[in-house]
Amino acid sequence: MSIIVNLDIMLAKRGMKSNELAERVGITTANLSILKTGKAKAIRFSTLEAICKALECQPSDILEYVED
Amino acid sequence: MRKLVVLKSVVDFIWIVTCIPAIPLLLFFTVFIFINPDALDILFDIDYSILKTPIITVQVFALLSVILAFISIYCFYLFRKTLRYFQKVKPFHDQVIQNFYKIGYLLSGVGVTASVLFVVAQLLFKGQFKIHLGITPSLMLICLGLFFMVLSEVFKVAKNAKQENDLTI
Repeated sequence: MSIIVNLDIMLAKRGMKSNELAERVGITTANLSILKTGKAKAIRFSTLEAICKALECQPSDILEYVED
Repeated sequence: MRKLVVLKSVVDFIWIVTCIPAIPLLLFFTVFIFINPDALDILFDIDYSILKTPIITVQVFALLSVILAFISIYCFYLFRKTLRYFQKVKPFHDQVIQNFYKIGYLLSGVGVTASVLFVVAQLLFKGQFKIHLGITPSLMLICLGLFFMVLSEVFKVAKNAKQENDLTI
């Protein structure tokens, strides 16, 4: 898919672990893993909002468009 | 889910009481019609005074009817197998979609072949050209087969929707 999820980079920048983020956002670690690996088909605005709030960033910091 | 238990029980009952004994009986009948052609009267109401075709033709028709019966039993077996997936709460399993398509394809085939066999048999063995325009078992089989094929397509769409829903975070 041409949308890349840069969640790993943001987690590393903030020094946060996946478990912690999953707990703060209110999703399971399995779902967070799906998101990180790019297997997710869609992301809810509420989830995106929660991730941005937890990582103190903008949606563009997490999502990136790359041409195939 | 109680309805599923009832359905599975009814299907199991039919399978044990009708289908399993039918398999050896049909096999025996297949051999018997070639040993004693009088047994063909069970299947076809033949008017021997106008029968011009050799008896082997009638035997081939009987053989085709037996093959259709076997295919119908196989369809019932597939349906029974599919119900097991429903019991395991896996309604969108690939096998369910494949089984529904296979059942539909086979039942439609059986319906069309049975209709053609009926018309040709009437023509050859009774000297009559008869086409039933009302609700006949063959027509119902074709409808049932097409319904199963549509159901297979619907399950395919539902599976994709479920997958998409599962992968929405």
